[in-house]
Amino acid sequence: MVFALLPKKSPNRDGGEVEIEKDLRVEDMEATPSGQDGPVLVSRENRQTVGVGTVENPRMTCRNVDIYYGDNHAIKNVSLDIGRNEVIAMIGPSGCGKSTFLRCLNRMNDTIEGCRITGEITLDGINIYDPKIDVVPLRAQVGMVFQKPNPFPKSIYDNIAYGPKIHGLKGSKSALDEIVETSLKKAGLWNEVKDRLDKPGTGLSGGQQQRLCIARTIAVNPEVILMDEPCSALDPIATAVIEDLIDELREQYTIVIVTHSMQQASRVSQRTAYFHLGDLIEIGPTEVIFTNPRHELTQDYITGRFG
Amino acid sequence: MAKEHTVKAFTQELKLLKAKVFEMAKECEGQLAKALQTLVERDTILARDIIEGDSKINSLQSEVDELAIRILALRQPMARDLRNIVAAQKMAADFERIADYTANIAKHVIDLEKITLHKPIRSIVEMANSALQMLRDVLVAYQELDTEKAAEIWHRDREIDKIYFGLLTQLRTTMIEDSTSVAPSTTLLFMGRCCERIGDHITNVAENVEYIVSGEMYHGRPMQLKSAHPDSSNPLSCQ
Repeated sequence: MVFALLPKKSPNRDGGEVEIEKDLRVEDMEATPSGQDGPVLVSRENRQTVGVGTVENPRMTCRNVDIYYGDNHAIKNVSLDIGRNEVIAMIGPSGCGKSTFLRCLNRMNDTIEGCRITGEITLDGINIYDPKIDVVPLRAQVGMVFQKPNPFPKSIYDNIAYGPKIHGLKGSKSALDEIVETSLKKAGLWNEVKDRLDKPGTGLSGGQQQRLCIARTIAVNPEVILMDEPCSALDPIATAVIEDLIDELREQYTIVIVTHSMQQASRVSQRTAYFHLGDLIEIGPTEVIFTNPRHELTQDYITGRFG
Repeated sequence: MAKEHTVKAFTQELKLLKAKVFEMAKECEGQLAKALQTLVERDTILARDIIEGDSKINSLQSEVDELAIRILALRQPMARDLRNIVAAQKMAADFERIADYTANIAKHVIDLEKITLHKPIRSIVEMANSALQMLRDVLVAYQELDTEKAAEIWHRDREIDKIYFGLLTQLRTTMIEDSTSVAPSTTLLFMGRCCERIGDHITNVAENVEYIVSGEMYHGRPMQLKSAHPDSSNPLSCQ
């Protein structure tokens, strides 16, 4: 398709003539002409975080966090707050450090040899890397749901009851029954499993297993739930059910979700953080990140311009 | 530097969408140029041409809409891509309205032969001429995503509003003084109104250029204009 945009010469306002040189073709229709990114977006070379990472009255705070795996500097000087009753999504290409960062929020990286963390991470004002902190109750307070549903090879009932038992939350049998029921209800699974609580958890469908894992996390009264790509092994319907659940859980818990699906991040979160090669590039309200990002790297990633 | 999409077909679709909007705008510009000519020359054959040509612009708008909706559904565009598509659809709607007003002007050209109110007709020609220049310039601003130019065009709409206000006053006086002039005066009022609305739609296009680049709508924030208008009090706030 070729057509002239304007006559070759067109009179300008002062009566003089301006030169309009080119005929336009589809090939010329640059959706984002070069040079236009400059004044509006922060350049790709700049790795300073764009946006405000702090919130009022945060649940968790991270200050100048660096994470190393041996010589590999996986997270570089990241400062970020995690607010109360919010869903914050971490997005970024593979290897950007988002899962690494998520895992250090409940010290899941402790067991990895050669992993070293500097900086400060607090939960309700307490430094979680303080040597006096016991990681077992910490991981109950900051629970985690993994990519692949990983129920225990036990009954549905025992999957939920196991946590409260080992964390000493157990009272009477009826109290435990109540915890199991409430947790399964909160996870939106109760109606589907109430008649077969003695059946193995591994016999459920993938989506049900993932909700069972969420119920297991809820059973120990967490404050924060970390989710590492919780829907990547699920079909769209099971995914929608989990996303709906995340929205409901937000009323009681703080949720940090790592996801490869930008649509998922945009659907479930209120704030979004974009990571790139270990740097926190941009953090802001989700609707701003997805409609009007301020950093070129964020824009490249969310609009599908990689590499 | 802007990068290409990893999925190259997506880039092609966005380019095609912009090309379609331009094709539409180009048709629109041709229509308006013809309308100006008919106003000056009272060429009723050309006027009929304009009226018939409107359907082509309508069908181009449908094409823009269909393509935009297809891209939205299939690509789930984000950020500037999303803004480009939303702006393309809005601009196409503005161009379609501009073409309608142009056709309306053409429909009344035949009446001009019987009208002897030359001064108001000159005002209408002046408005149409300004609108045509604005339309041509806003297309360049869109092509180059030049927000400064877009803002300058936005402010230029005041000139049209000013002439329109003068036209209103003039025709009101004429109608009060001579009751036989009511019919021709209302025809001219209608044509003037069409020109004034065309100017408004061009400002919408200019706002969308700003929106594509910055994500914000331009609503006439203070700016340095090369030719600042001394009379900034606008009797006809147009939006």
